[in-house]
Amino acid sequence: MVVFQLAADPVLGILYAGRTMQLLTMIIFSAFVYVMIRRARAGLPVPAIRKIPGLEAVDEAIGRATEMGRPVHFAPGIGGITNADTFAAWAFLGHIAKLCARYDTRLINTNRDYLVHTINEELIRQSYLEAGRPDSYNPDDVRYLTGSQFGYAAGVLGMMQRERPAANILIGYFFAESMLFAEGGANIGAIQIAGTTNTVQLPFFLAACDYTLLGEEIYAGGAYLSKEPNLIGTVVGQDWGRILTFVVMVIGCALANLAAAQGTAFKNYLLTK
Amino acid sequence: MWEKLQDLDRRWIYLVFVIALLFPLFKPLGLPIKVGADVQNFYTKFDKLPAGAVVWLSPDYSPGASAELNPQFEAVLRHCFKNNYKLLMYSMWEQGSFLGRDIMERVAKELNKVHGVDWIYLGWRAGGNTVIRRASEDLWGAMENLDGYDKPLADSPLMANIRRLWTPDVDAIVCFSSGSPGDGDYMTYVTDPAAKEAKPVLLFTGQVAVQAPSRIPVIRSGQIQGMIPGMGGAAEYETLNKIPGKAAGLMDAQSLAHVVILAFIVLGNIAYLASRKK
Amino acid sequence: MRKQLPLLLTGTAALWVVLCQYIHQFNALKMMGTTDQWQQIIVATMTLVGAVNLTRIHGTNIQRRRSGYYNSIALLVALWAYIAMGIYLTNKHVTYRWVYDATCVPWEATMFSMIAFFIASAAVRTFRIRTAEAAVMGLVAAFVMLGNVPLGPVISDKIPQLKDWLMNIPNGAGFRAIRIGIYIGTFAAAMRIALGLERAHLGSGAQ
Repeated sequence: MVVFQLAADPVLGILYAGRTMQLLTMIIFSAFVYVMIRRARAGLPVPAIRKIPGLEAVDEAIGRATEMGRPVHFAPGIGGITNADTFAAWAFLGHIAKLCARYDTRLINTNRDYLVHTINEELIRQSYLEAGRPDSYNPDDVRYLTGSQFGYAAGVLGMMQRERPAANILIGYFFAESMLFAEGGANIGAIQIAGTTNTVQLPFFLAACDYTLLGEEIYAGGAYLSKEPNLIGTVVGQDWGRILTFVVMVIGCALANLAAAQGTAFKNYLLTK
Repeated sequence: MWEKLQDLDRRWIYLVFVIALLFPLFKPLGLPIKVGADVQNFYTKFDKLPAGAVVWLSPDYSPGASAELNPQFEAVLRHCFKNNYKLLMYSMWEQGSFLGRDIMERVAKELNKVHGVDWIYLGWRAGGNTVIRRASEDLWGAMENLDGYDKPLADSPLMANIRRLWTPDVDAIVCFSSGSPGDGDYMTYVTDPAAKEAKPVLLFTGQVAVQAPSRIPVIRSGQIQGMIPGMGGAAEYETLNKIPGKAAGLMDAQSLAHVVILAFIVLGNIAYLASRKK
Repeated sequence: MRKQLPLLLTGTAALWVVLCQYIHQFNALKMMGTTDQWQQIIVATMTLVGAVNLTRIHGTNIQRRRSGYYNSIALLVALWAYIAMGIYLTNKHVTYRWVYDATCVPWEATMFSMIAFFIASAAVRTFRIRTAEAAVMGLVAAFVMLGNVPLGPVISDKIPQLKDWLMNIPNGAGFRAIRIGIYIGTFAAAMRIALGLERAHLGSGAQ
């Protein structure tokens, strides 16, 4: 078959050549996560997640909005339903919605993706129901603005000026609108908590927000806020993966330097000494 | 007075900023454009492709980034036509396909380049990065056998030997990116997996200035061959092409705008230190 | 069932992608191309779902005469008129393109350019030299800003060189470190989703 000629010879007759290292890494990382989940499920001790100020500040921000009698605004970024950041945003939104329902504080959620909006509607309604306040749920406050990135940004800025939320929580995958939202929130004096894995936008959040969750800290949010052992297990497993990566990097750097030096100085050094 | 300066109404900042941006448009400062290492590296490597090389141009941006990326796209396009590269243009962003097409049609007309022979417009298809992943296996299938003008691909002589977005059918990809999907998707689904082939597909990129710092690690690792950063990069590319374009003319405005921001930062700090001494 | 079915579908799709990516036989038979095609169809259909969803939301606004309901009328008229125009004239027609060029292009460009103003005001407000670290950051920012525009080399040839060094070495190292952390975090997050441990999106009670 012609198609078989297109790919290089398989490794062990099964694996796609050129991706074996990727697969190996994936298996090792999966093993770390799996072991930690098992430990957590079996009730064995699992290390606790360190205190993340941005996560602690979520409750404080909602408390402040409640005291001031002003709403809380939550934006899940523009990543869409296939983005892992949006899943992280949902973990935050569930927690925030429950707290807002408990304190009877208005929660405004603005969206750019119609599918994310539909899920948010359901999630917030469910949270109000669980908090025993289904009547406080206002569907008008869960808003789909537009699919256009900057149209959405304009809509959010307008909402901020009109409804002046006391807390502005931005968790998800953000692009160029990050600066507009964060500076717009600063303009109205809102307490601001932001987090994204888009490294390009992190400096803007750091400059304009009170608390910023850096990169993968937002993924730990769901585990941290829910205190669910299964989820905490995955976060710990991920940290083991990080330690392994660090070790591999150090060894790799040392070997690369040795190899680079081998032809000249290092070789001479070995020969003379 | 120092306290007032510290809490300066932002509208004053905006006003000075607007003046700084508009002034050079009426009275250009004529600052010389010096070509930086990034753009020189891009140009040198890209220039080395043989005549007749097949280049995939991917304007993956929306109108918001067009001020920075349109001049980049045009500068690279002119370079391609000058070197007689054969061009395929596809965008993962619907709006990017319109923006790129307008420039492509204009420049091709100006240089007498024929659609279907020297270049082909493939348009946009729903599905984001899945389209390029599929194109890496079956380009015709991913494009539903039609070009961006809904004409059969079979009618284009250029497409006769191009079946996949993969080596050796395509030699290089230039992705002009302002977000996602973008160059990262080409790395994941096309250029990195093809890197082990005898003649790999090379990836080049044009970036909006704000994204440029994040691409440094992948350029140093060799996953991206070269980068044009922001409008400044476009101006430098125009200088290397020796064809003046829009970007070079706008760099004076950017210079002044940067000076204004720095001046406000310095003033703010003087005010801060002075009010603290009090 | 309402929660199990989406979890089952997610897990199956994740397994499918892993098989297609790493198993030679799946890859050689281009099986992922077929599912990619499915995804293309689903994404295209989702656009219609979006239009219907938008109509539902704004239709309710108009029906209940909520505040600013006239904006909803304008939105729905624009949405469906442009869809109809696209169907009738096709998106290659000069009028269809003119509407887009005359409205979306300037609106988007305006909003994007506003970022420059917001960056300016945020920078002025934030760059206060309160600590030694802030002083270093301020200085680095100044060199990078000047090195990025033609004015930098006019002041001194050393400015672009210093900028290049700052961007390539300290900035490159920082970005690399953050990125590696994020990729590992994304992997763990993806595993949680694939294994059905992350369930917030199925309703908060599902956690």
